[in-house]
Amino acid sequence: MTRCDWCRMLKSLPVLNDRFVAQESFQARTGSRYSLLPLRFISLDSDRYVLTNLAGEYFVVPKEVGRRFFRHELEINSPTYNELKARHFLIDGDSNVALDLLAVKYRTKQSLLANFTSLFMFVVTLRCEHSCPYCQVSRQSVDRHTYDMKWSDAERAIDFMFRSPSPAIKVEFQGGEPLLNFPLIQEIVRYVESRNEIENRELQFVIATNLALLTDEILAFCREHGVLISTSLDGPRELHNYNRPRAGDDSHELATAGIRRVREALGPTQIAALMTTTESSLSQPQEIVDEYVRQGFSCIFLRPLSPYGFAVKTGQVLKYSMEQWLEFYRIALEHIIDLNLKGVPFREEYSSLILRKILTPFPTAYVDLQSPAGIGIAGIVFNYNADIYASDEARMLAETGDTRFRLGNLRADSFESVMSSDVLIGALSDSLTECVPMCADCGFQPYCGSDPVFHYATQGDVVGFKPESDFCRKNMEVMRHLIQLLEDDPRAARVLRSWV
Amino acid sequence: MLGNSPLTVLFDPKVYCLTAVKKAAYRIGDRASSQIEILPDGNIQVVLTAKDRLPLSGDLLSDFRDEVLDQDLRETIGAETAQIRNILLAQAFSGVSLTDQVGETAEFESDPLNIGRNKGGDSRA
Repeated sequence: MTRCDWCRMLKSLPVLNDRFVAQESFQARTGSRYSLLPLRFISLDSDRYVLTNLAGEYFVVPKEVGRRFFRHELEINSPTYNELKARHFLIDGDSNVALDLLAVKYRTKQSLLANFTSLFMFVVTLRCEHSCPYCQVSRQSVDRHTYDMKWSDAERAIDFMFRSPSPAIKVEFQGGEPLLNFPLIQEIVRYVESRNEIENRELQFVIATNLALLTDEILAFCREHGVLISTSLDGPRELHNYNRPRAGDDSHELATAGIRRVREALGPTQIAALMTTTESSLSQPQEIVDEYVRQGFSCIFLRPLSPYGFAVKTGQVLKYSMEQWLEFYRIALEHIIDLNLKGVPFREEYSSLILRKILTPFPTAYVDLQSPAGIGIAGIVFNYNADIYASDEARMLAETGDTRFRLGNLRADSFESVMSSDVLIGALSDSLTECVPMCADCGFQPYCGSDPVFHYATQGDVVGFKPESDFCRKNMEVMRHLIQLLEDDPRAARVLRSWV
Repeated sequence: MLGNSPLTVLFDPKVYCLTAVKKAAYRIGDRASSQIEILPDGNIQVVLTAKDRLPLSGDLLSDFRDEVLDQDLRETIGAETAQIRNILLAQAFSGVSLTDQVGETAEFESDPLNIGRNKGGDSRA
């Protein structure tokens, strides 16, 4: 059958001709017969723009092509046009259905908001047997029991927690070193479980510990109640012990021995670790990653110092710039990608969170990458003294005397009064990146978030002056770097896509 | 390097909107402070003064001009897509379809979109 025969046959089928547009419609043409859909753009480098749409899909174009697209001068049905159409950057007469799809993708991106607060952090004690100069929470010495949470306050916190409508509840025990008040952890876990027989939520427990005080009894309890462990590992022995001093200079030995014991007792995936970058870490990005691999971890979360607590008092945060941290991040990420290419599966978690936002329509629960900000609505902190804070950083700030983000107190305030307080609602409405100067126009807005506590701590204002914001500088450069790798380095792109 | 003295840049308001110039000035606020004025002839004048006593560089000037162009494009795109953005946001969070109300709410048996029919009549047996 010839092509003409096919055409004649198709024309004789009225149902099909109602469904399909005539062939001429698909021929390339130039003109203004397309409409732009809501989009943002930003320079990827001197020659290219990154375009992002409402749902966070991205497309990289040469700047000249981008400008032609914005001016409605793009050749219709050219490959670029079709890509832009498929990714919801434009709409024409053939693609009305795109509006529905785009709305669904946008709603999916915001779906976390519907579940409301699901993470509840209990600061069971401020006491700690480490004396890390970068400590962000201003720990207290081991014998100062006035810094322990009381059971009566823990009970109030549990009542408060179950007022949240979230179907999933994560209870995280923080410090200080929470194992110094392990009996309270046991009481809380047992009481939450008993309450949950009626509440029927999906529960998860995590202890954030340095593992120095780990015992077989603690491990047995964790195994019995499905408690996960989160620990700190800053890198190889010398660096870790320099960053995290304690009597005996054995923090690394205790941490790595604890990691092995947790894996044996609870299972290989029941423990995760976090690192903090100090000035001493900057020269050792590969060594830090290699230490994580050596200790059997499949990922690392590269974090700069936070400007709170002792980290400010001791001047630790001033010892390096964000540019230096970004260089550290790039080198570490390159090393991680090389490891993957050599057959060692390993992820960088901050990059993974951002890649999930870039490459999928799904949201992440990471507090710092949400708009409105994650404070209060992604997590709540119950301090040892019954004060309620909007985030871990908010209580870190409070330990240095600034209670700007104190939402209330468990002995006086209800869930309803705290969650509708002016402190929380005010900070949330100020944190919408869709409305904030510079963020509102930023091409990376769909992937980014807001951190009012960080900006208040560093600039004295919850919104902050974005051109001078390290939060902004860090996120923009990480996002730019990841998109450059996705676009320009096929081998790296293959690895990065495998993390999502 | 262009030295330490302030730098004056003019923009024709027939080409660039004032909002775009303001946003661009904000964007480079880590490197220079900006004094923005409308001159008697209608032109937009921006006087850039370097922050931290750093000399103003040609890079800053060209970055600023590029940024004004980008911001102006953003303003155009924002104005053009404002209506559709509002519809999309309403559609995303409403319980009904605002873009296809008939298809969303009608009974399937009545076939309001003529899925089972052609224009000439009912194709079903």
